[in-house]
Amino acid sequence: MIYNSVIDMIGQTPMLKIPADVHGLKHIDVYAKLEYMNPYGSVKDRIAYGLMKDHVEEMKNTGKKPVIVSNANTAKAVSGISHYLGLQPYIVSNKMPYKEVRNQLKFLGAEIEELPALTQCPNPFDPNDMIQYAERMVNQSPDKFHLIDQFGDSNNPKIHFETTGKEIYDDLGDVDYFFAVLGTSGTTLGAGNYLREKNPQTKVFGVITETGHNAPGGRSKSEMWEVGIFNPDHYDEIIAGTKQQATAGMRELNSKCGVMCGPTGGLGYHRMLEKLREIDKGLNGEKRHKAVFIACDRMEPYMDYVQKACPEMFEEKPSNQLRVQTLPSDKVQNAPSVDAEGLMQMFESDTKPLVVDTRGAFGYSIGHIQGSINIQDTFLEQMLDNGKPFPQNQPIVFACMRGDVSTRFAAFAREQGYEAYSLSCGVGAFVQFYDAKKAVA
Amino acid sequence: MSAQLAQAENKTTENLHAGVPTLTAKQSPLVQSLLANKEKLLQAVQVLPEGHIHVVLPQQMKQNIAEMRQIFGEYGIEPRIFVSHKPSKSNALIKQARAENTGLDVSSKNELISALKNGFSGQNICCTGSKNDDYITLSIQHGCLHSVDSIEELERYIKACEKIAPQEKRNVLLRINSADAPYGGKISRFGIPMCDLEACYNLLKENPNVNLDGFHMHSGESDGDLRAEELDFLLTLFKDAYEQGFSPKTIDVGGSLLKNIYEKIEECEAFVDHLSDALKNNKETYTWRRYGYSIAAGNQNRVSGREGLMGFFKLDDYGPCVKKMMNVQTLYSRTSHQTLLECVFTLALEPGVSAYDQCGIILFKIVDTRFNNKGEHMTVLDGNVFNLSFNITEQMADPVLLTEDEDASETFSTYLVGNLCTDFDIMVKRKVVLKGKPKAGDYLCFINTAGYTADFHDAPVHQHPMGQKIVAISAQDGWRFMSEDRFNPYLIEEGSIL
Repeated sequence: MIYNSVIDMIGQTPMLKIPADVHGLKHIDVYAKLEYMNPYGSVKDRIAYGLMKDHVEEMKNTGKKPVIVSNANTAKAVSGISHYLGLQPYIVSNKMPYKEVRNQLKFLGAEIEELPALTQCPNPFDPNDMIQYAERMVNQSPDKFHLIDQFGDSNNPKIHFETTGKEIYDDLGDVDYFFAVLGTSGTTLGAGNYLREKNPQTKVFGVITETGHNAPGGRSKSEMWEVGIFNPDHYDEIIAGTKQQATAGMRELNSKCGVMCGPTGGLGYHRMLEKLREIDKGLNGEKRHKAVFIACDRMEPYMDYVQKACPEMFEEKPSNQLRVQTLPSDKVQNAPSVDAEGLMQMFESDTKPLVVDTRGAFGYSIGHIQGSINIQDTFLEQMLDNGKPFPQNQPIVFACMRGDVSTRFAAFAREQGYEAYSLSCGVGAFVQFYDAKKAVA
Repeated sequence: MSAQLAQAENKTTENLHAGVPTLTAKQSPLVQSLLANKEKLLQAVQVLPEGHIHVVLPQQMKQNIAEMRQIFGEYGIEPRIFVSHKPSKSNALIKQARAENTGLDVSSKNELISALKNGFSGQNICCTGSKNDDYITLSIQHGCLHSVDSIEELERYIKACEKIAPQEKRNVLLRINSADAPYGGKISRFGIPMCDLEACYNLLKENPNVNLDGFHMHSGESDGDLRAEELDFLLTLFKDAYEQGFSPKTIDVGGSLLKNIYEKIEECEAFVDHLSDALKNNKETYTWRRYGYSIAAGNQNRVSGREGLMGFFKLDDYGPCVKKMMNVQTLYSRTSHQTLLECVFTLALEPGVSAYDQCGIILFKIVDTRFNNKGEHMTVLDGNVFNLSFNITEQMADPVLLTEDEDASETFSTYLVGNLCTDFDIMVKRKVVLKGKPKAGDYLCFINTAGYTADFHDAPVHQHPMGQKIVAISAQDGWRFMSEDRFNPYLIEEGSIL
């Protein structure tokens, strides 16, 4: 399909049918509206352009800068579209926690004003509150700036009424259940109203995050009050979810359907399925029902989020081969060791030992046993797992801070045929012993 | 009985109290046990002079310190704990901290004197905050660890050391301004800007008797990810300092290891939700004169400021925060706890709120009850807003009614007003929910008041008395009460008072 402008590519996103064997519902077909297929990567492309389009010519003629309060998808969309249209985007944000995001926005031509606000959320008593700051800035210099207000502008739901809702209806006809995560709530308000206009029986569900959980772009119940257009009465039900559920939803969509969506899509999908399973039980099969959820944005920027929510997903699995980490505990317990005096005696003998200090480089640089070499435990583990890195005609003494890590290495090296020991007292105690002995001598 | 009162009395309990949000205060087992023995508690306070009573629980501090050591101990770290003096003026709690072999973080000359009086040696005292010459002098005389707040203070300190202890080594921490933290910390009046650090190094190189013992940062952040970044940042400073030829050992990450003071997070959410809805839609807020705490309804139908209020509501205690701090990847791909251990660095903490958590309650006697012209119930206490430093903690948890009435289980909501002849003396700016109907002669008990709430601001306004303190000890034969002067932590062993 040929497009003449990237703007024309906003919207008309694909609708993917989720296979029945994935969702397991008997009477309901489930569809994902893949909003991450928008050119700047999220559903926010719609409102970014939608809230700008009537003002583009004026901004071009007067040199006004489009101002957006965001450091996420809306900022990206406004910046990208503005850059493309020859406008100068201006981002007002709290301190951006991720350099990557800041650089991305700069790459998209944005001027960024980061405020030292007291909190990340809107705070009416903070002179650096980003929303009030942006409003003040625009009010003081209306000839220089144009505010794009995704939280308060009623055009936000209107855009979703005219585009998202209509597209869903055009693809599916009457929809029975419509789910989306609530951020500005524009999607569920606008698209939900369109679907209800066509089918008054359409049930609209808003998905929020549980207190203490987050899904980037989503909000908790009390956070929703920060959104001027939010109307709790619009929803048949508001359902809360956790970051673990968001991650699980992302994973299932990716592994079983190839959907590369982010946490809001994952959360919407996860909470939707649980709700639909309840509903499905009560249906009698007289007709097929249709449910739609919004896959808002792409997964790539959120790997840090996923790792924090589900660290176990990223843990290395031990292999079956005998390795340092998997050495049986009886072998570790029986590893030979030397104390400080024993190591001194070894130094004084003919076959001087090789002392391998397993600590990090900083600890080693601050103080170490004379003549020792430093191989940090993580690297040493790889070296020993992959072969025999030391000469076998010399005793090896492994040393760490407290004698615990070194014991495991000594035991493993023994298995590989080394005459290996652990310095039981640790490096610190040895250095103290050595200094004391030297002082006496 | 006034017309309004009669009218209000005619309202059903349901009408008066339905829908008022509850915020239940969390109670430790020790506090629960004390309140379960209310007869003994009330007997003890009734013999004291008039005014409000601070009941302090040193055994709770013992538990708090042990818990803190255990949490850090999971990472092999033995933190050097400097219990912060400023949240409390209780001698008993300071004595207990000494008995637990902690250090003490002091913020003034008189707090330093109090520390010395209660058995702390200079080596176990960390002097922080703004310092006048007398405070610096005493700090040097006693060889305290001295947290330097600016390059100007370092110059003053060095000059004072030359006069007071010219032949002796003194240890300083350089406190770094938290606004210079890599994540962009809050602007703070405290700490040395990073641009002055080089000059500080030069001063210290010229004055080798003043030893750079380490770095200090107290950002006030309680978010685990930010605290982890801070620790990583401080460790980076250590590397730089070693490269400059210094050998710092102490890394002081301050306090802000917070504990949840509310029993149910759902109640906190519901409170914020209700207040937001009420402010936006002109419904009853159940707050005094529609006070919004940090929340306000503003332009474009938005209600904002929830984070300011939710900041007081914690889901978790500080354990998960410590986990993040201890496991952050730092120099040379080591975690922070590995680096601390391998470099033999000392992790110093300055716990305030967490050390004093659940270590005190305040009792106010109820003088009378009444209704105002809106038919709102008010309970008048023999105390006032100056006896509760809620402007620091914004603590809003419901107090507990201590009454001799057997049938005191029905919920009752009321505004708490104080004994000052001023209109602003509203003790808690929301309607609190009590179990039972308050009456003159009953007591109201505020929970978890030892840290910052009890006597941070306590003042004898209108010449009303300041709070009296008594110590409550859980002994084998039940609760025992004594004055702070008579309390000796070394004479209490496993529930026996020796």
